[in-house]
Amino acid sequence: MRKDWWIGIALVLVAVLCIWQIEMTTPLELESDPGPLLFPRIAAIGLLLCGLGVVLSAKKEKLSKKLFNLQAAVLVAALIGYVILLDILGFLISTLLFVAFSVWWLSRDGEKKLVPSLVAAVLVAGAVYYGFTEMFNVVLPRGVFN
Amino acid sequence: MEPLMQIFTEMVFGTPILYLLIGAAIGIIIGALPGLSATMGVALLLPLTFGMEPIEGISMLMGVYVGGVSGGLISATLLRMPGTPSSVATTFDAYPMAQRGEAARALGIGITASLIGGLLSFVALVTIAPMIARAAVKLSSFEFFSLTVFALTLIAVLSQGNVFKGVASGLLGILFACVGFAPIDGTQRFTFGSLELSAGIGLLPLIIGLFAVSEILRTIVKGEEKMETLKVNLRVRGLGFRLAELIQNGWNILRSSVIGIAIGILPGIGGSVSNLVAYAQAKQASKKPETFGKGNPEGVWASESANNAAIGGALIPMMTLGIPGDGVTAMLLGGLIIHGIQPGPLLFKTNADIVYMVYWAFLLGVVLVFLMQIFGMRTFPLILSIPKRYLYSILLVLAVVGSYVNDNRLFEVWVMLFFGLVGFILEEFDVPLGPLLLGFVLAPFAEVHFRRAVMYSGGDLTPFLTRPVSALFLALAVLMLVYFLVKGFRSKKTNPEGSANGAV
Repeated sequence: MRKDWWIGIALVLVAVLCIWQIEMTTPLELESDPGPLLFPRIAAIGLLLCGLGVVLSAKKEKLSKKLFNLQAAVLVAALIGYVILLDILGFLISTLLFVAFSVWWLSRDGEKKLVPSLVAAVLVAGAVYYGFTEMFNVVLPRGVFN
Repeated sequence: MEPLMQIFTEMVFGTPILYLLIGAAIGIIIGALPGLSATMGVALLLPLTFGMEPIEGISMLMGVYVGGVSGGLISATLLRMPGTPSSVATTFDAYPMAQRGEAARALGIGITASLIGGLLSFVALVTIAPMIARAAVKLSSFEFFSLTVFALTLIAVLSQGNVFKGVASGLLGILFACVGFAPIDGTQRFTFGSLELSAGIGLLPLIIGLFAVSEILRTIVKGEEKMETLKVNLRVRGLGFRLAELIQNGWNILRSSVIGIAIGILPGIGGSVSNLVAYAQAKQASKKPETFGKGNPEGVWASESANNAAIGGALIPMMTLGIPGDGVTAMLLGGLIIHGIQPGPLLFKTNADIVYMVYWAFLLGVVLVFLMQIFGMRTFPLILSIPKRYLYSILLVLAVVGSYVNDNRLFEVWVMLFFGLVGFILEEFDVPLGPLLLGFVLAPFAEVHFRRAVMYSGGDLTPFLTRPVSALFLALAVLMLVYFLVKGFRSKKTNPEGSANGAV
């Protein structure tokens, strides 16, 4: 399957989902107002046509298998874990864990060392926490310690 | 005291100048590092500005913007890698110059060209912007709607690569903007019964996801390229080149700056295109075109004056019409709107102080970035050796915090991650992200104007076509769309792979 077919079909599917949602919605009718559905409807139909256009104008290029990358995939998983932990452990502890892991994980093989990762984690978590709560008066997630 | 001078003293003799300095330094560093662009710098710093006074926030963001565009020349010269898309053409001649031992001269030329391009576009900004604003006050909702359609079409068809992908990206932006309560009547759209979604998609998580997280992911996937900084001697006296050289290149610099300003004004394409166009023009006009690409300083003068000139150009439609000229100005527009300031023709009457703040911050930013780069030249190799593992980790934490702080909702962080992945996938398939952002920012504006216009005319759509200015913009939009769509189909076989990377 050609590379552009994937994205073209994905765009068509998104457009179909949008059109289905629009047809499910019953808007409030105001006099001489085109209503709240005209805009998204035009955009969704346009998207459908563009998706078809991408499919039809696709070049003969295959999807390269390089799309999956272990280093990036694990980092995304770590980010997801980080956000889940923010709600439970609060900002300081979860940021500490995330930075320690991500510095360690992004180091090249053979250079993965624990101590620099931990030092970086303490510095980053501390600095960001201090900067935001003290200088910008922002409340960061406290998790269960609320 | 005149309000213009009052803003100036407030900026120079207070905290704003400090924020400008910090912003410029961050901008230069981010711009210098390949893979990280001015767009990303502004995306990550935007949330920080919400706790600030407008004058401080504008100063910092303008510093990052100017520093980010200018900083790209550092890695272009020392690594042969453009630090940002704005400096692609700089690599062609600055790196060969560095190779033959003229690194300091190449950097000096790039830094000075940035200064002159910036100053010339500042002049263009302060002369053209008020004129457009004065003319634009007379426009009604009909014209504003048509103008927005025109701007959106322009960015969608001009973004590099497949035109269908460009238009699809803009339409996706419009659809994302529709999520939540509709304007005027409050109908819920695309909320899927979710309470969180009914508040709509926040601009910050969208920007940070699309332009920071996805950029980091992409650089990681690309893998660490071998970065071997040239061992260079950066001890110089003065600017590293002779004054006569500057005078010789006067015409070249002027032409490149005008190209930069003009391209900057067009919605959707900014520094990333202007440097290439100016380079090509300089080569064509040169007496020694065969030496271009082999270390001809004329190429550096052209590229670096054009990309910086594009900044002032991009600010013009953003401030006068509320229509951004590139990705960064779209973020600045969003930032001002969150501050409760609506850029547009009325801004010059109702919030003249904001206009002056942008003027001064831009001018001071250009001068400060020049001074910092000239005096900090010897630290450049140091900037390029910042280990990626620390940098990315810090940037990701800032991305999470930045999307959280505006609303104090973790939901926004999830939205940010979602757009990080969406941005990554779209760019992998060569779908440009610039149109998506512009569509997202402009859709609410266009919709309100459209519905207001139609309600005003009692449901009649003909005024869009009978009012001359409105008809002109719509006709131009349709013409462009048809032209590029037909071209898109025809070039299917002949056109080699177009890169959508960095079209913002």
